[in-house]
Amino acid sequence: MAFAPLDPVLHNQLRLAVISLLVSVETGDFNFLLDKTGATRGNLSTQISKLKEAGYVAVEKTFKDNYPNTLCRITPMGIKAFEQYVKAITDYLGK
Amino acid sequence: MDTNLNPEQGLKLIESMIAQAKHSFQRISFYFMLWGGLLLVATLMEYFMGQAGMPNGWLGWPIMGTLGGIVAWMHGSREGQKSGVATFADRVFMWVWMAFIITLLLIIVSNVAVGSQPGPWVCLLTGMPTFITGGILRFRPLVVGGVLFWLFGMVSLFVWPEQGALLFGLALVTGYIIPGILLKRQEDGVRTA
Repeated sequence: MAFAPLDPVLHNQLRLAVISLLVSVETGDFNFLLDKTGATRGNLSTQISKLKEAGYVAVEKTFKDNYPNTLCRITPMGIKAFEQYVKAITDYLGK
Repeated sequence: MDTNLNPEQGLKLIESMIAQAKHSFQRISFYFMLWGGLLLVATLMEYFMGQAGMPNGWLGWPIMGTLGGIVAWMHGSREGQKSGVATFADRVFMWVWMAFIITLLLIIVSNVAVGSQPGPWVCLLTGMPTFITGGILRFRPLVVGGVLFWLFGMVSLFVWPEQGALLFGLALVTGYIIPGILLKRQEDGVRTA
């Protein structure tokens, strides 16, 4: 049996963690993602940019308490990619 | 945290992140304690002023209602600013409680307009959003609290105004104040986990 190839955008620990968090909420800001993933600010920022370039995450720049705030939301394309990724790994694991 | 994963690690990571996000509701225990406390004061004020033969015991309701509205609005604005996440459940809570407030105001105005006591209907109505919130949070004290609002509301229909006000007070303690305190404990536990 041939297995579907894994999406290279999601096949990365931090990007997968970010997408898994965003699929469960409506919006999450940068500090929420930082807190839950335990990543460094620079790395998280880079991986969010990659998810945005892939069209999986929409990023909105706002202000909170007069400080810039990055608000992230998963896109329909991101949801579809996440579902396909979950299906691919569960097929692989035979679940 | 930027390495590639094997499928098993991927699945575990997904499960762990989804489980963490599940506990990302806004903190709402404050509202139950606030409204439970203020409305209990209004209820007891009306009861004891009535017992003492003093007029205008009902004035506690608009005073406490206005005070509660201002404090809840200020708290909500501050918490909304602090929170970095919005969930579908938060939106459901907002719409359920907004629908409750609108129905509550309509019940009070229409009952007063026809010279009827709104108290038992208010108690019955309050059971609904309390029960729904408890169900969504999977927090049994609020579910039980919602059921008790319904029960006390039913009984108070037959004994209002004399004992009905006391029953409403009891419903506030069992449906708002105690679940609110227990929910706060749970929220504090989740926050520090």
